This record gives sequence, C-alpha cells and structure tokens, in this order.
Amino acid sequence: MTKLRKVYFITTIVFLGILAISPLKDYFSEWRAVQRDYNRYIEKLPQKVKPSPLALKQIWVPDLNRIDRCITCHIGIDNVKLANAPLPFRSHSQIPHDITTFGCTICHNGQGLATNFPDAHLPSAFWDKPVLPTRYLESSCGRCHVNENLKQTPTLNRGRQEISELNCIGCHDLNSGYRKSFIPSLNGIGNKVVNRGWLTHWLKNPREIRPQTKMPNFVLSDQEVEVLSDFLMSFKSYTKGVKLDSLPEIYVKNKTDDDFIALGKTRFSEARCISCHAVEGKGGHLAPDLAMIASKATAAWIFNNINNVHLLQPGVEMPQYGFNTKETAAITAYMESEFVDRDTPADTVASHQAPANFFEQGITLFNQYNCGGCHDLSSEKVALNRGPDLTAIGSKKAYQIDFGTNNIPHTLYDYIDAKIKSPRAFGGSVRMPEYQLNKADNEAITAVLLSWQNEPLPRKFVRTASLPSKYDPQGKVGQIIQKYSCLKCHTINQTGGTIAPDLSVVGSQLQKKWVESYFKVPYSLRPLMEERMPNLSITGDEIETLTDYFFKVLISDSLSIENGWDNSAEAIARGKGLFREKYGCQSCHIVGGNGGYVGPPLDKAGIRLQAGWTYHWLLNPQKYKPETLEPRDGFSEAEAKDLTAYLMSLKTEK
Amino acid sequence: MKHLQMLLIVFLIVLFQISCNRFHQPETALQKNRDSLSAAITDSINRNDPWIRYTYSERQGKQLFEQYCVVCHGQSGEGDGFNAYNLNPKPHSLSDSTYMRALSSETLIETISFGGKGVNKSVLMPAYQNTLSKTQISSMVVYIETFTQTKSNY
Repeated sequence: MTKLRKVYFITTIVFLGILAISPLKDYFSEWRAVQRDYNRYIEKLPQKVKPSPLALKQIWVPDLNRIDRCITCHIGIDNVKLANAPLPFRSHSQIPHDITTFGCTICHNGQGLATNFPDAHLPSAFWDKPVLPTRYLESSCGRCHVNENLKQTPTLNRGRQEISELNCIGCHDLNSGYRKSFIPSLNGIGNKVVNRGWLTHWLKNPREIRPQTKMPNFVLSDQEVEVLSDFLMSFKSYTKGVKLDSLPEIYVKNKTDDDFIALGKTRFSEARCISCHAVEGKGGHLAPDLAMIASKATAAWIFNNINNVHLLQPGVEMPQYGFNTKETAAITAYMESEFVDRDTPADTVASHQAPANFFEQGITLFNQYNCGGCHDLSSEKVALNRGPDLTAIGSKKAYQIDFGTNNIPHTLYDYIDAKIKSPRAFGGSVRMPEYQLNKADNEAITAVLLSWQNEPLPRKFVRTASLPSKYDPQGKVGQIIQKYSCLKCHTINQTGGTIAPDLSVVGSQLQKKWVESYFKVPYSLRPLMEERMPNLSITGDEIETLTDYFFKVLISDSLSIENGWDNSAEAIARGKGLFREKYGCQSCHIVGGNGGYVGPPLDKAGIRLQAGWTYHWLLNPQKYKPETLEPRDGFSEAEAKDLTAYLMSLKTEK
Repeated sequence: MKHLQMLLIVFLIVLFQISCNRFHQPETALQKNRDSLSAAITDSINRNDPWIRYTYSERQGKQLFEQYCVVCHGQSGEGDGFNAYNLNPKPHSLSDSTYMRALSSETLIETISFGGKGVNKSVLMPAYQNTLSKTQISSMVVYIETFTQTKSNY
C-alpha cells in the first residue's frame, strides 16, 4: 500500500474508534447498570416478576407538560410484589393517585428528564427544585387541593391552622381563606396596664411573662423598648372613646374581705373561666393565661371587662357573662388577690419622665416593625409597613434568595424552614420576629408555604375547596348568639368553631327540656373533650328565645323514623341484649353506673336524646360526624330500632 | 508526512480525551449542595423523627391508631389507655413480642375488622369493617407491627 493509503486506513480505524465512544458510554451508563441489577435481583425472588428490558423508560404526562424518566431506575414502582424490595426497586406506597396519569415529579419534584442520580435528585446550578424531603411532601398535595383540609394531609392542615392562629396575615399577603384573628387593640393601653414596668418587661420578651402567648419576640434593644413603652403609655383612651366605669363602692369597701373574695372564687369556678383561660398552664388555650393578670391590668379594667366585654373590646371572642355588679366586683377582688405575680419586684422607678420627642421616635419604631398590622391603634401617623408577598412563595427561585451568612443548603425549602425558625439569623434589615415554634409546627408551615405556587395547573387537576356560606343569624337570636360568642366554640351551618358540637340540627337531636336545664347548669358530657361549656348565667328569657329557635328552625325532617318504632318491653329487652352481649357498647358508654368512659354516658339518654336522631346515628355515625370514634356496626334496621327502644327507656342513673 | 501523522494523532488523542471526560460543573452551587446535603443527611438523621422512622403506610396507620385506638390501647399499644381502666378484660399489650409473634397479620386484620366477638375474644372490642376501609386497616396493622420491631427501616 502507498503511504497515503496507510494514512487513510489508520485514520479511518481511529475515527471509527472515536465514533464508538458515544454508544459505549451509553452501554456503560448508570441506569443500564441499575436495570441489570434489577433483573439479577428479581431472579432471586420467590415470586414471579417480569424482568425489565434494558431501555430508557418514561411517563409522559401531556396535561402537565412533564416527561418523567424516574421509572428507568425505579422499575418496580407499580408492582405490589416488590413492596419490601430495596431502593430503588421498591414499589410506591398505596396512594389515591394513578402514577401513569400524574407522573412522578408533579408530587416529588426533581428533574424528570435526567437519567443519572445527581441530576435527577439533587439540586444543581441549573435546576433548583430537587426531590422534596418526605416531611415537605404534602406541599405538593396542596398545589392541587387548594385550601382543602383532607384527612390524608395532616401536616398541611396543621400548618394552615398555625398560620391563621399566628396571624401571619398581619404582615404578609397570603393565599385566600385567611382572615385576621382577634388581637387586642392598643388603644387605652396606657390606662390599662398597672405600671410602665410591665410593658417594658413584656416588650423585651413576651414569652417570659406568658409562655403560651401568640405574640412573637421582636428582639428589641433596651433603648427601643424604652422608646416604645413611652410611646404606648401615652395612649390612655379606649376604642370609640369608651371610658372605664369607676369601681363600684361594694368593691372598694370589701376588696380585702375574705368572704367577698370567696364569693368571687365560687363564681369564677362555676362560670368555668378556665374552659378558655388557663391558669398557670392548666385549662383551655383559647384565651390568655390569667395567672398574673392582676399584675398586668388594673382592677378597674378587669371589672369593666367582665361587666361589658363587647363595649370595652369590640370584636372580642369572649362571651358576656350574666353576673350582677356584686358578683363582678367579687370576681375582680378574687383575681386581684390571687392572680398576682409575687416573684417580680414592684416597679421601683417612681415616675418616669418621657423624653420630649417620644411620640416621633415611638411612631417611627411602631411603623418600622408594623405593629399596626396586628394591633389596632387610633393614631393618624400609624402607617402599614407590610412584609413580602407570600402568595407565590413556593415558586421563588434559588437565585432570588439571599442566604446571607447562613450555612444551610441552597434550596427553597431549607430557606423557608430556616427563615421561620430564626429569621434574624439572616441578618441585616430583617424585621421578622422570632416565633420559636417547635420543629413539627415549623415544618408544617413550611409545607403550606411551599404549596403556594404560581405554576398554572390544568383545571381538571385542581380542586379548590368551596368557601362555606357564612351563617349570620339576625334579630334577637342573632344578638344573643353574638353576646355569648356561641360560634366561637360551636358550629352552625358550617360557620363557627370546632371545639364544641355542631348545632346545625340540634332541634332534631336533643330534647327541649334537657337543653334548657343544660343552659342553666352545663356539665361535662363527653369525657374525651378537654374544654367544657362555661356557665354563662344566660337569663330565662334568652334561654326561651334560643330554644324556640333551635326547635323550630335548626331541625331536619330526615331525622325521623319511618314506619314508626316499637317501644314494647320485648323490644327493650332485645335492645338490651344487643347492647351488652352482641355489640359490647358498654366498652365505651356508661349505662347503669358502669361502663367505659369514651362516649357520653347513656344513663339519661331517654331524656336527653330524641328517638329519630338515635336511630339514624346508630345506622351511620360517620354521616353526621365524620371524625367520631363510634364505629359503624352495620346494624340492620330492626336491630337499630330495638337499640333505640332500649336507649329511650333509660331515664335515670340506676 | 511524519509531522502530519504526528499532528493527526495528537489531534485525535485530544478529541478522545475531550469526549471521554465529563464537563466539570461550576464548583460553587453543585459541590456546595452535594456536600452540605450529604452532610445534613448523615449528621442529623434523627431516628425518632417520624418522617424517617416510619414508612408512608406506617404513618397513615399511626394517624388512624391515634384517633381510634389509643383511648383503650394506649399510646404505645401497652393496653394502658385512658379507658382501659373500665375494661374487663383489659386489652393485651401490643408491644409484647411473645404474644404478637403468635398473631399473624391476617389475624390482626380480622380482629380489627370483625371485632373481639368475631375472633372469639371479648365483645368489648368493636368491629371496624364498616367504619374503615381495607387499606386503612392494613396500614394500622403495619403500624401495630412496628411496636415489636427492633430495627427501624432506614
């Protein structure tokens, strides 16, 4: 051969060799190795599993514009026989969504098109949505199930509840469905507090005085605290110009008298104030802890608050108690003697002279930290100074985030989590206060925030919870419900609180006489509930108006027994047998003095409940209260009627 | 001619090298993320963190167990729940490994579905087959089985 031909020959061989590099790289790629491993693994299994062809696999979801190649390595993902296989061959846990309709990345994030581990799972310079850690996974549920509180997303539900309790909407714009919760107004604060020292102490660190308070710590310097205290002490008139009534003579004369204080203590415990107000941590958590209230608020304020709470604090959720002046004065005397902070020394600074420009300095600070976002203050100079808009925080890109000097991984979820945990660690001009939440709450709020994204999803995927229609009773009934804040605890027609039973059809559930007696003397009926109905001393007329309303309007025609029911002695005996021997209801309910203490005692079921309600409840409890512990026993209609007969015959405690 | 050959060979070797090696990503973001992520994973694995300790089915089962069962069976299945005081016979401890070894998963599923009466035991345990779905009951059984599990999943 000539030299040239030799050259051509060698060059061709070398060129072909280089051409082979690309297919060889593909042959030795990571995912092929994984698939070969899979085939080797399933050979050893006792069950028969089809081996995987060595090819790239993907799920194409045209609606979501995603192509997910996760199943190239996660081969057994939809094969139930591989539930205990090692990763990545393990099958997916049972979920309500079909993998081929949804793909993988819509829930788990990560780069669907990648074919090697780091690109698919980990964040990179060009892909900032790595695979979500399990604790934030429910945020993907929240992207489609907008504001829906599903049973399968407890983290999201908790996070949403935390966000509305902590009143994030005071500074940030949030997604729909959040309203400002009640926060005390600062009008008249200068007149309300016992001395300036309390205010200074509170502003420095609220949690020190009251560990359960919702107010976060603004980490103010001593100087700032002094300025704000001076500023706030200057506000001595209450909302809408209300003036405090002076303490009645009976109080002034008897406030140190033991009998008077004992009367106050009796009324305090009868009224069950601790249903909502804890005392030293024991009790409900719906209202501030009262343990040291007398060191905070003056006696006059406490008296006026109990006497006419809606006048002094418009919009407050506390009900108006029907005490007379003597009782209110006695309770005030009791609180003044008991609920004092005996440890903190009295404020020794006799009189504090505020500097000349206290108002300008104060209002600047007030506006800087956006105190007006939560606390109402009637001053012209109050300006809103809100924080960043959070409605699409879940779509924030990593390059838009200033991580400061923090040593956290550069991902969105780590940023949000760290920001909520210790915002001031991001330094500089961050104004956000420290909430000091526990880890689970922190993660829950992060999960909710991550679900707020602005990537539009196809309509057939998104389920928005319909906002319930607002129930707004009018007239006399409406006034009574407003006065006693019934809807803070009870729900009627999907409006109200969830701590107490739903009263939407109470007229068909309970008997009128029992309801009237319950209003007069509420007692604990359901052992598992922590809160108890307080004794509001509702007047006889008001009780009559309410019960009339309940039994004429809040009823349901479907809760009656068709074809009647038989309350003969045989039916009662059959029902008793079913109750005790066949279904063992006494494991949870007390009858005749003994039994379980899970459901309400059924000793007086015959005078408390209505027959129709009992019958329908027994047939399907979950229809009326989806979260109830009572199992649906699958009674036949005859059995349910017999049980109803038995229960309706129980009218006394023995 | 020899020079040309030399040049050609060098050129081809360079081409070979370039095509074989991966492009190095910029040091900053990826390296930092890999290092801190793996560090985070290895350092801060908290074995008591429910996200790590339990699989998805176990977590579902845990939620259901805490809603329906804890009141009699106790928080860790010991049979010391709030209502156990009123029960006679008391529920047997579910974390007793000798007792639980004798019970297969199917037996547990049957017990929950058909109640105590359905498996010839006390009538005080209700039947849940009409209240809970099969998936829910099997997730509860998976969770109950973790009471006697010595090794965690990860």
